[in-house]
Amino acid sequence: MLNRNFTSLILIVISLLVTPISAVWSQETKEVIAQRLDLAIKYITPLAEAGEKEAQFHLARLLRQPSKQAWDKSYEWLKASAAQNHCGAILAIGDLYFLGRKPFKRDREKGMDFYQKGAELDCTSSMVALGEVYRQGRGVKKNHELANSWYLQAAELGDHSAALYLGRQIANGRGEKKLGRSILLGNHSC
Amino acid sequence: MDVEKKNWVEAYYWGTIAASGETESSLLVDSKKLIRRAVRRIDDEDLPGVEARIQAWKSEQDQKWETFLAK
Repeated sequence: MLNRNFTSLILIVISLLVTPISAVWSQETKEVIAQRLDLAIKYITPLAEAGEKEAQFHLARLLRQPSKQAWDKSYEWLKASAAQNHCGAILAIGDLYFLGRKPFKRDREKGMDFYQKGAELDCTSSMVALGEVYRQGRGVKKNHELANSWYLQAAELGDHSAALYLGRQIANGRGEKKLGRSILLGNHSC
Repeated sequence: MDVEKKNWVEAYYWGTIAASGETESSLLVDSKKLIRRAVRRIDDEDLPGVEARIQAWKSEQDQKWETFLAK
């Protein structure tokens, strides 16, 4: 418990350290941010090395900051975190592949595999990602029925953004016809 | 209740669920927009039923949280 509290404290400190002071980034401001970033990385690295999946995930994000661009190193930490079923890390790896972000070229199929993996672990963010893929038809045929079923699963697990997306689908006439009685009557076996 | 109104009741339900959490402000704004759109198209007599469902959903989430804490 103490360790978890300590991790939370460190993460709060890190978020403060890397928060930009001003929207207009002068050279001086950039330097301050770079110094804070280095400090944040210094603090969080031992936790990541100790195997804290949350720390590994945040370290991976810090290493992707513009002044670092340590793509490969960042990916290694994401992998370490994802291997411990960290939902954010699994989603992030899916995004790297799906969107073609460094160090990868776009591979939507592989990206989808990671979203699926996350969804199997009840990661609602991955479910929402799958919903968005099918709703927008990005690399797949548009399928509102499938999109809605992912939103529904995520919403039922307490994901508020999924609830909004599902509500919008229904309001826009893309819910009832497709999901029919399943949503309206609470039979979620679609 | 006709199909269109059922849809709006359903949209109201999910919009309210979306707005009920400790959510980021943009999500809250969008949820409220959806609720407002829905409210214009549903009748007062439709509300008690859906409010009961919203309460049931919240109770279920609370129960899940309690179970999680008890682990």
